[in-house]
Amino acid sequence: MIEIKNLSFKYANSKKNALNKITLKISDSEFILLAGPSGCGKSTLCRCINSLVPSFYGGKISGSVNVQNIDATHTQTKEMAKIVGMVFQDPENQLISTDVEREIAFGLENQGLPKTTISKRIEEVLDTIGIEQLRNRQISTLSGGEKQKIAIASVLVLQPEILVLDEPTSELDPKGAEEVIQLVKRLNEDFGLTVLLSEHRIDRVLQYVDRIIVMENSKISYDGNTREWIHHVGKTIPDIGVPPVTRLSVALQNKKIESKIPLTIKEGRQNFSKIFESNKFKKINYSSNGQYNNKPNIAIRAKDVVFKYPNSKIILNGINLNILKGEFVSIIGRNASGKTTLAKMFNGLLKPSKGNIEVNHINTKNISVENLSRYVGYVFQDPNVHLFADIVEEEITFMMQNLGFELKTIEDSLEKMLSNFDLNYCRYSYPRSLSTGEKQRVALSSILATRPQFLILDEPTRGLDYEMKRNLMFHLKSYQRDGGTIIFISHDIELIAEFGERILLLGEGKIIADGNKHEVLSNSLHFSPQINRLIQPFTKYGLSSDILTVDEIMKGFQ
Amino acid sequence: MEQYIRCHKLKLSYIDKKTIIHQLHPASKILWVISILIGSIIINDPFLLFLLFLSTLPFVFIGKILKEWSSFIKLALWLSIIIIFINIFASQNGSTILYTIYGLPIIGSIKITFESILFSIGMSLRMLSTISAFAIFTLTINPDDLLQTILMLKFPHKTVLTTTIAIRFIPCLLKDLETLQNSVKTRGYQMNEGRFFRRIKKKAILIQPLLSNSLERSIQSAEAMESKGFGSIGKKTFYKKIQTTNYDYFIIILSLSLIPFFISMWIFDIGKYNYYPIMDSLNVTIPYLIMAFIMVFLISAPITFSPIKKAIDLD
Repeated sequence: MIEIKNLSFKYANSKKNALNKITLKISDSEFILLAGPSGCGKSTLCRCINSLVPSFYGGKISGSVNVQNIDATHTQTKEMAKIVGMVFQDPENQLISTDVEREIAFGLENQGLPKTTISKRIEEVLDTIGIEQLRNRQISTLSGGEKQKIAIASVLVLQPEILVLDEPTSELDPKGAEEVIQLVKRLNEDFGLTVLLSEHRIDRVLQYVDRIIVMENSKISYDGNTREWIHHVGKTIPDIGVPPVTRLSVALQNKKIESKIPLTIKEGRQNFSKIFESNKFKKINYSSNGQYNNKPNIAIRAKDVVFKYPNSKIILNGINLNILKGEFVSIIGRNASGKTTLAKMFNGLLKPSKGNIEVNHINTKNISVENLSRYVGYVFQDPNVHLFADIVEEEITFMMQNLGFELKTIEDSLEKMLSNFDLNYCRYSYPRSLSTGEKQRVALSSILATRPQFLILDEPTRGLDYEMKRNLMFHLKSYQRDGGTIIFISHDIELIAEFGERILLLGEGKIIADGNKHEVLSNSLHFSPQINRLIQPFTKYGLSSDILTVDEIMKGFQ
Repeated sequence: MEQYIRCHKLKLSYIDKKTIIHQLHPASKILWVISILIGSIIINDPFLLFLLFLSTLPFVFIGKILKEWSSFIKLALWLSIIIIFINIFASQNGSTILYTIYGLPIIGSIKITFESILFSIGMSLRMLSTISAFAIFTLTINPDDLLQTILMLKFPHKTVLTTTIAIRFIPCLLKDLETLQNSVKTRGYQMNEGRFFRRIKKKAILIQPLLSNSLERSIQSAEAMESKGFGSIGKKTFYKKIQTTNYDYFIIILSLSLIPFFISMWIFDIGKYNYYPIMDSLNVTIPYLIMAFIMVFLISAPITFSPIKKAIDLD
């Protein structure tokens, strides 16, 4: 049992409390979701439970944290390790060893257990988590999801009673994330482990948890049952990342159509079948809306592009593609299907081994990356990679200066970007000290300030919560309205279903499908958004089978 | 393609190539490096320093790390060029004046002497042999084994923690460097433009993000280690046993005999060499040649004797 009373905490070099009068009680074997915007104190609260706060970080603490009758605020983290297992966000940096077995053994070695016990416990944990096949692998060869499973194994082997996970999926692709969440759920159900999971993608876990704790501004703003919470926040739900089926039920409620709140497709089908049966729908066929036929200007042309590194397998295999001016092209596909490689071709970071890429009729083989950057802006996945300057203002003018813009233009553009991206309040802040969402805005504005004709984004939404994502899409749409062309690499099917237009599906280095989002995303098991999967049995009532979003359903109501 | 080559150059982390060198116990490798370090400090003579450097080469070939090792040496060569360049202008010692630059503001004139050139070459050779030894060490040592060894040798926990973090992060650092370089390039920053010093100055922009990344990373690692009870009081067990073979004893004996050997060289003034004011002539006497031969033998012997390897394999 965890009992937190009146807990306040302030980091040593900070003016503001990171936690403010938190009172909380967690019973054994509960599965709890800790939600809230980034910077709300989730991570700090997680760290209080195994006493990393305050014993590792230092700072001013008041109140009490009682974990299984141990006073955590006065116990060293290494002592808490036997009771609380902690899994962190970054799969890479929390693993210490280079091979799997040793990593799992690490915690047991520290406790000085005999070798035979260690071997036995490793066997057990490998079986429990189902990773026996990884036991002899080198950690550097594992995927992010696998690494995160090893991280869980390496704390589980200490047989803790409580598992605390601090945003364990935010660096993972959807498949890895799903696997990790499933594992945590199983550990909770089969072994009765108490789980406290901090997560920014609420939609991934809402259906599994017993209880949700929402934090805002260092305080707990909600603590209770998930469905009651959805009811409670009903009106503001478009801003919160609940699953689309849940959003649909709220949208229906706003139309005075009552239904029980579903969290999964299964529940959705049960709850909504009556509603769909008793209402009439306009048949709107989305697939045939040829949106991009009337924009004949070819901006990027790829002809028979093949790419391979020497001594490795082919990564891109015969890509033929035209991207037109003003398009919003989303590139989706499995891991290692060549998405990032293809995107790096468009800004010249990689050159085709065979075939040609033309950007604005310039062959990328004849121009340097630096010069191509006048036309092509590239947003890396990790916003930290973009941050070089001491203050935000400098960061935004950095690229303009590199490209030799005039001083007047730079100043005008800077002011415009600061106000467009709502960065005026932090214009003199150190960019790296900002929150993830703010960093992303700084990175994006520094590139858009030079008004590039193309913008390539490589998984820009990883680590963003729903509100930040919507914010990003808002900026991208306004860039597109001003004539920009967007190439958007993402795993986030729900987001693309809502905001995307044209979609390229890559597989094994080839283009598998290319077309309007309604054609590509509907009627597929893996690449369909939730709403599309939900409505398939209801098409007999007049719903079109290529509906992808809540809005499209609502539009069809007569 | 260009991208790939750069990637490849950066593969400087440990890869288990399963050679004899890789299988040596970290402790014997530590001892070996220390003995070479002592040698390079004691020896002044450019010829012997060069020999010292050459005698590390067999390890590179047997360990199959030529490619990775070369990139370390390439870096060292760049550093040498800078050192030589600075020393030639800064050191005004030596009597064989090759060229004098007159009419400089404040300092007046600079003389370039033959001795200063040779001195800096000697110093570079010293650096090359140490870097070569360290490169062999880092490229063939399993970081986990190293961590375990220094724990077994009862180093304090904080030292062990810092060492692990440092060793683990070399490859991460290089990966970061590449991403950051790509990032500035895609933002129109001309990094490879202008003369040598201008380029260095332009590259300095990468230092700050590189350091912040490493700092964040080390905090995360330390946090994770702490959370798994690292540094608990009491005895620590080691799940895996690091194998010692007869080969290890062989290296240990050789390295241990190298240390008194270097000290005796120092006592008998062999390997001592004065660059200033006038260079000594290389005093190639019979004892000198004998000592040089013994040195090369002691360092590179473990490898040149394939019969010994066979004998050990049969063991």
